[in-house]
Amino acid sequence: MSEERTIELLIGPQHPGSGHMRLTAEVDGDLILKFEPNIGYVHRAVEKIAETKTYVQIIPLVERPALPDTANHNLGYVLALEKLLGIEAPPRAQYLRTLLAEINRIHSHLYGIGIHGIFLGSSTMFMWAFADREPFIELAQQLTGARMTYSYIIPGGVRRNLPQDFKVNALKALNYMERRLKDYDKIFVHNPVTVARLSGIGVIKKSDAAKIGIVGPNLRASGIPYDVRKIEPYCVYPDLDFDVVTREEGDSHARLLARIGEIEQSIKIIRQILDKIPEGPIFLESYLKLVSPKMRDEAEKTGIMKFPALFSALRVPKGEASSRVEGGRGEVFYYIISDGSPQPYRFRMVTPSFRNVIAFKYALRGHRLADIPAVYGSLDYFPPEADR
Amino acid sequence: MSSDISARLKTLAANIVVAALNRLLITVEAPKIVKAAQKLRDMGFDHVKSVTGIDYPEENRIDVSYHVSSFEDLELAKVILEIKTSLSRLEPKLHSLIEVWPSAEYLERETSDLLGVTFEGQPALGKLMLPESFVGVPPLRKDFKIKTEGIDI
Amino acid sequence: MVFVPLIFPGLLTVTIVIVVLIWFERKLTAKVQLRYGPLYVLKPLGGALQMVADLIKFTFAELIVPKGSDKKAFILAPILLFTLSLLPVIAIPVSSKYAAFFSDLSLLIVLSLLTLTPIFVLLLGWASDNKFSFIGSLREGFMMMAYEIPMFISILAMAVTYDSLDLKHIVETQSSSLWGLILNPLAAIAFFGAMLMTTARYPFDITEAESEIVIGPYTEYSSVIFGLCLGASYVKLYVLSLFFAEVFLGGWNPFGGLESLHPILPGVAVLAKGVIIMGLCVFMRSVYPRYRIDQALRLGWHKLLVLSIVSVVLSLGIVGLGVL
Repeated sequence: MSEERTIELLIGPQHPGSGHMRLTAEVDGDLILKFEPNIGYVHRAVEKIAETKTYVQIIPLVERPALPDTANHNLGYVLALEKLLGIEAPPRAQYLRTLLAEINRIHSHLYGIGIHGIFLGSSTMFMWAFADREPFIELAQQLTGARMTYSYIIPGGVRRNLPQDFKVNALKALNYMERRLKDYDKIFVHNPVTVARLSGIGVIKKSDAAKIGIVGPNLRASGIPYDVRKIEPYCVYPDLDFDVVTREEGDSHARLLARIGEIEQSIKIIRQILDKIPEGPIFLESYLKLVSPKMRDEAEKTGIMKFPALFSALRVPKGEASSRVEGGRGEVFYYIISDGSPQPYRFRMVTPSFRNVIAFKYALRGHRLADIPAVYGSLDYFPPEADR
Repeated sequence: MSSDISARLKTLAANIVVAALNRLLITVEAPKIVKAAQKLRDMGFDHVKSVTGIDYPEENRIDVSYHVSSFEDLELAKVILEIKTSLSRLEPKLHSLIEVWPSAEYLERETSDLLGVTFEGQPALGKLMLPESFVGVPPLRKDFKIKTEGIDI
Repeated sequence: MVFVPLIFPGLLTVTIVIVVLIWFERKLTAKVQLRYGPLYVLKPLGGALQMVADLIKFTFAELIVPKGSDKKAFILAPILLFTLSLLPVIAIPVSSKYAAFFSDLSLLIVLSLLTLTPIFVLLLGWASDNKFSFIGSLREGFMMMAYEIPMFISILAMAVTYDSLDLKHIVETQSSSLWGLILNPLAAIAFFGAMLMTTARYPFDITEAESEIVIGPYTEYSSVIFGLCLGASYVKLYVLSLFFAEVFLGGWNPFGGLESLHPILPGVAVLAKGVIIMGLCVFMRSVYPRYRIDQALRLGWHKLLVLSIVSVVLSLGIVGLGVL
């Protein structure tokens, strides 16, 4: 340490502000000279395991990497699978899928905003955001039976029907959330300390954003109005009316505001879904015919589709298919190659956090040590999702 | 897919095939991939969505697929173009597309880690997903066996 | 005298006040954040003895001294830090007849002793062999640059107003005229800002910024000396709150007459006013995130310094106009 002016800091896995990854920073005083994210600490080989599992066993496998955002990952996989099978789910099932996806988007964004708050030092924002996830997790539990990893969307439809009192509870939760967003505004989003910490920090310019390929609210906060729900609409998004929240500045504060705006849009979408949902079956007729009559009657009576064992040997026709959906953190991309056997030949899953890793190198150039948590929180990077 | 896009693409490459709704496929030979990528970038495809390596041990080849699309051109953003190349399995080498598309950096590093494909031109930054001390068959190849326990249905 | 430094307002009082204060901080923050806070230690009272439980835990935890650290400095620095933070209490008079010793310069003694404490924080960070502690202690050194001068100049304004450097005289002057807060609010605001900075209350929690540098200079500490480290900043808050109560809030007025009953009773009024100030400072935790170091430095040099100089001018005006 005699003649060195710079310090190499390993903000490693055992650090309150790093998550499951290592950030190597070389600092000169307070200024960052070099910055390198080092990921792969939570790599669990999802793609390799998927080659040994049957197609429906992959549904829980695909949900586990991105825990705050499971329904969108589930939906993307099932859409790719349905393209290979050549089927399409009935309209009521499509509405229910979109409902779950939007509920999930709300509590995934609240997770990101809460983590951003604690990284900046505002424990109030952290506690409020995580407490306010609870109404939405309970709504999801009433709909699907599970709190976080639903496995609700299956090829051919969904597993459960809408409960009787769901609409009343959902409207209560949505009204509550709209009131809380005003509180968040006063305590965190437009708090003078937050604005001073976040404005102009971690700017990713519009030309850079497209070049380095970041996705999700990070991309939309840099001025590019790319949202998979508008570009390649799936499920019932063509029939719903919502805006793509875009901001021009590209700094951390813009990313925070983009996420808050998306929560508002999701609330709007859920209200429309609850008004417009049609009656009908929740599972594909041609698959329902393959089930024994006793199970068919039970499904009709209880509204719960028990998973028939016939799916365990589902043989998918030979071919390949790819699909993309808009998850909470960005665009999720699936690519399945099938060779006619019950297991996929190659299963490729590219998650939004993995595509956002490169933003660390671009956004933190020339910034200070204290900006690392501010930018990290604003990118909403989730290490288990990136490492899969 | 709109006729405007197919017109723009057909002028440049005659072997672009429509694989499915909004999905295009182009097969390129390994030495020519950088030139093809540059032409596609000038057409408007500005980022890489995924780099996939597929192992065919019986046919002794490894296929590498780049899925590219556009962010800035909202018409072209509706289409995903797949660029497929075939490499020999014994010596899978491909020139990196990092200068053409910077967004391919971490995706290529992951494929080189897990499948053993060498991307020439990638600055050597160490393994991404695997531990530094890993030796042996790259995990995603078909001759890497996972130790299983119990019975799978 | 031995009563003041040991019993009131010295060691015993400070222990009781800090136990209650930290419990109050955690409970109040929890109420804002929709949760319970400390609950189980003495359930009917709402977990009031939580800090006693924590102190017992600290006392019996294992004291680990890292191998590469400078052992003497590692262990001595927190002890000296705590002692030096508590020492100024001997110069604060609790009534016009009760103090450890009376002096014409009691105001200066209190402030000067407090400015020595950052040196021990620097020593803390240097003695632990850890890069994050090093950066944290450097931040404490920088923060000292930010708040020292505005603190002294705003107190200079008050000294000019009251024409004295003796705390007893200042409080007695306030019994016949307005309180310092109303006479010179600018000095009060500048001093309050500097007080938040020196005791590392949010939004100036920069030395111990948990998400950036683990816990700053105190990273490698455990057991008793860790408790002393964290306690030191609360003790500084206590001393500065008593000081604020005497200079700006009228000290023991209007209960000065009580001293005929027992010389120590007006001190309770001082303590009560100090506790209100302390409560206000710890409430900041639930409202503000933390600043960055260069923003805090800019705040200290651009805004607080200017404010304190203007307050000196205001004081000169007050004295010149003969308002006093």
